[in-house]
Parts: sequence; C-alpha cells; structure tokens
Amino acid sequence: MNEAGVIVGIGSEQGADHVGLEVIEVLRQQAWPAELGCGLYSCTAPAAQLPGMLSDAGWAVLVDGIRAGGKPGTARRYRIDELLLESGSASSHGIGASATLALLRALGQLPARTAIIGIEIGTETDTAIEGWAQGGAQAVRELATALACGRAHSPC
Amino acid sequence: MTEPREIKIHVPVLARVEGEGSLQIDVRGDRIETLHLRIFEPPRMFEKFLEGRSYHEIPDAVARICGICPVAYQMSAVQAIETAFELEVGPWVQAMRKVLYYGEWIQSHALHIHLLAAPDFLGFENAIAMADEHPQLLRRGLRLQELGNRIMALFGGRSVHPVGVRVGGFHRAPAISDVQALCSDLETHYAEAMALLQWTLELSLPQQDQDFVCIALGSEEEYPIYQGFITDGRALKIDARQYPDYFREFQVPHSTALHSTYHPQGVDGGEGVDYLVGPLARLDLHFNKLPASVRELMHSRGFSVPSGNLFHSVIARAAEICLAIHGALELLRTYSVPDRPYVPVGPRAGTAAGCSEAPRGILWHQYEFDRRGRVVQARIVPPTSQNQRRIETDLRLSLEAFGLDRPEQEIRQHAETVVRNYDPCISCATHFLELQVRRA
Repeated sequence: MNEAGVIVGIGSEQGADHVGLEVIEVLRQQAWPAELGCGLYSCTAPAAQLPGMLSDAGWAVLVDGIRAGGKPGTARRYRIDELLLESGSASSHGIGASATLALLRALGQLPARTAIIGIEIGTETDTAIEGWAQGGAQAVRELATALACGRAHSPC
Repeated sequence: MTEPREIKIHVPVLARVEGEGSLQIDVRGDRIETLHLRIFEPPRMFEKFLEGRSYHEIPDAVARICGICPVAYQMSAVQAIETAFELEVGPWVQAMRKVLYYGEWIQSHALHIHLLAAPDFLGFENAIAMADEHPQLLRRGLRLQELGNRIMALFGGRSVHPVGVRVGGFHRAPAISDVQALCSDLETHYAEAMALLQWTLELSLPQQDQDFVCIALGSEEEYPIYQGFITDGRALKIDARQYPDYFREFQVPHSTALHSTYHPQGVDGGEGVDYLVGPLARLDLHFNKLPASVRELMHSRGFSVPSGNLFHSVIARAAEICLAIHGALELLRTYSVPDRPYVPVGPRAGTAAGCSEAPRGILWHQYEFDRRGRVVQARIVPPTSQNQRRIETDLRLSLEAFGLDRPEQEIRQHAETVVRNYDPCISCATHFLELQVRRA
C-alpha cells in the first residue's frame, strides 16, 4: 500500500502560528520523507494552495498550530472530523485551513487517509517554536508512517 | 410621539474577507450617523524592514506581504528597482512577467468568486454549505484556481511567495515541454472560464448604481496588468513617479491601514475624493481591450460599461479570468528559452517608482537607493488601503438605499456583502504605520 502521500505544514510566517511551517523545515533536513516517498509542502494560504497539494495524494498529514487549551508545545493527533467544527471565518492568512478541508471533504476531494498533527501554541511567543517543531516532526513521522502503510486511517 | 429608531450594528469580525477587519455603524432613524470600516491588524512595518536591504532582497521580501497576491508585490517592486537602475529587461522578460501575473489573477479571482462571493449571491452562509447543491460550480472554481497556481509555480518556482523572480528577469526559464503542457491546460480551461463568466452574467445581482472615480493603469494597446500609465479615464495620465502628486495617504483613528484620496488638481490643489481601484475600475476603463469572444458574450447578456454597480465586480473578475487565460496563451504560443532569463544588474543611487495591477487594483511602490543599491527609503501603497474610503462611502449609500428600517441581521448581511465586493486584502493594507521614538 505505500501510495504517494503528502505532509503539509500550515501556518503564517508571523508569530507562533509559524510552527507548522517550521516542522516542514525540520523534516526537509531528515531522510525519511524521501524514503517514504512523500512530498513536503509549506502552506500559508490554505484556500489557494491546499486543493492542489492534496489532489492525487493517497494519504496526507497536515500539521498546524492550534489553541486547544493544552500545554504549549504538545503535539497531538487529530482526525479530520474532530477539527471541522467551525464554518470558517477568515483568518489572517485567508480562508482558514479547517474551512478549506471541510470544503474538500464535502466535494469528495480529500485523500481517504488524512489526519492532522496539532501543536498547541497557547499564548506563547515564538521563541519556543524550535523545540515545538522538533517534537511535532517526530509526531508527524509516526503518523505518516502509519498512514503510508495503511495502519491508520481517518474517517473523512 | 414616536422616537426615531436607533440601531447600532457592530460586526466584530468580517467573514469571508482576507485579514481582520470590523464594521461599526450607528444609525438614528433613517440616517447613518457614524460608519467606520475598522482595520485592526497590527502594522507589519515592511517599509521599515526594507531599509538597509540590498535591492536583490526586495522581490523575495515583498512577496511575503501577501499570500494571495505575492506576484503583484514583486512586479511593482522590480519595476521600481529597474527604473531606478535604468535597466531594460527586454521583451522576453516582460512577456513572461505578464504570464506569471496572469496566473495570479486567475488564482485570486477564482478563489474570490467561488469561495467568498458565490455564497452571498446564492444565499448560503459559506462555500461549504453550497457544496451539496453546487458541487460542479465549486470544483470548476478549484480547477481554475489550480490553473493559476500552476502558472505561478512554473515561472515563480512556487505559487505562494514565489522565488523565481529577480531584478532583471527570472532565475530560470521553464523548459519548452513544460510550457507546452501548460498551454494545453490553458486551452482546456478557457471554455470553463467562459462558462464561469456566463454564470456570473446570469446571477441575480442587486441593482445599485453609484458615481465614483475609477483609477487604473492605462495603455493604448492592451488591457493593462504589468505596466502602463496611471489614469482616471479622463484627464489623468501620469507615470508612476507622479503618483504622490495626485494621491495622498493619511492616517485615520479607526484603521491601522492608511486611507487615500485622489486630487485631480494635484495634492496642493484642493480637496481629494475617494476612488475605486480593482477589477470593475479596470473593466470600466478598458472593456474594449478584452478578447472579442469575451466582449461578445457580455454584450449578448446585456452587460454594458461603464458600470457604477459594485456588485458587477464578480462579473469583472470572471471576465479577467478569461482575459488572463487568453493573454497567457497568446504570449506562450511562441515561447522559446532565452540564452539567459535575466539581464545583469548594475545598482546605482536613485529614487524611482513602479505601479502594476494587483488583482485588487493598482499597487504602487517607490524606493530610494544608495550607490550600492541598498534601500534608503521604501513606500508601498496597496490597493485595499486605497479602496477603504470608497468602501465606507459605498456602505453609507448602499445601506441607506437598502433601507435602514430592515431587521438588523439583514442590514449586517448586506453590509458584509458590500465589503466583499471589493475583495479586500486586509493583511496587505496594514504594512505601514508612522513610527515615532521618544527618548528621555
């Protein structure tokens, strides 16, 4: 089963919301994504970029900063349906990722195996991001490996 | 005696616009007493950040001002830099820059029409709610958006914050085979773009004509996108360096983005007026430069210019998608790989300006360089900040015409729809705030 997959870091180049992008930078320095045959993408404009990034992918891991009340820096796995709670009011980088994902799911254009790594950013400044990104990258690796081998799948 | 109705409408966060803005309207009876489009995104200080930077850093830096219109920022910037250095880039670079820019228009307009505007006109809260009843419409929109992304990635290296642009040209020229594949995609999608235009022409749009000044680039030969003089379609015909002589920027208490006014007699010649930039302004001034097939379709559906109805902006965007696909095909049919995709740059001291047509309207840059090509001073005027006063005027007129005796929720919804006609890019608009440092 190891169809080609994608790992997408979502965020803004400003502030703590940069952590998703930072995770991708960490992954670019590692060998396993290429060995797994997955593409790495940085997404700062979800509505404009996500549809193209996810099209033709057999599986997808999305990594983004979240505010869920947890300890800052904590990386947690989410299913798509756990996060598609809002109708998508605009964020500072265009239509939000959750709204775009909800739209793609409604149109049947989301990879069947899609899951999210959310990294809690709380109210911290971005000085802690490097440490968060390393932890996030490890969580992404575990999830991506599972999705690629079909051991985990997200009910989309 | 009946007291006049008083309502206060506060939309704390405008939905389906890029960035964070809010609206404050105070109504008494049948009059709007106060109306403020509040932008409270923190100023991003790009003009200050650029000071001391070398000219070659500017394209990558300004591309990060906006995730939706990075090419526009790069194009206005390189124009200004190349003018300051008296650099002629040649026809290949100019043509491919237009193609890159067309890609951004396609992507930006497709995103706006389908994900931001269509829900308003079809009676849905958002595009997700539309998906069950209009899946083909949304899928077509995503395909057009992806076409724009592919054009941008081919010439810019990637679709967001492109890295392929450099002062003097491009870092690399795409292979002929890649361009041929793109041409095939463009041909395929032209029919979809025309179908989209027809769909917009058949929408039931509010009829609301207003009187306003249109400001856009002008050209004798073409529907301008990458370069041209600045015009109001009447007496104004200036080049980019004269922009400050006719347009004034100033701060208002309720917005972190500067407001702008146009002064037909010059900034020292009297009061200024608000003005419109963007797709409808361009369409009103350059309709006759659209491809014949596009004009014929629009005429056949009874569309005529000039239009004073900002709800026709969705039609203008659809027409510009057709124009962009048609224009990109025309430029790429005779594509060849040059010996070198850029011309060498020799920096020099000087000040110059550049102006191009971002998807949302004219985007003006000015830079002063030292003899080593480092930025001494930078100034950037985005289209959304220029449209702010027009938006506030439009809101006042639109809501009074809509009827202030309607339920508050209806007034709020109509106000949001009016703002979305302008496709405001609020994050772009807040790049500058005057900074004063007081030292004890």
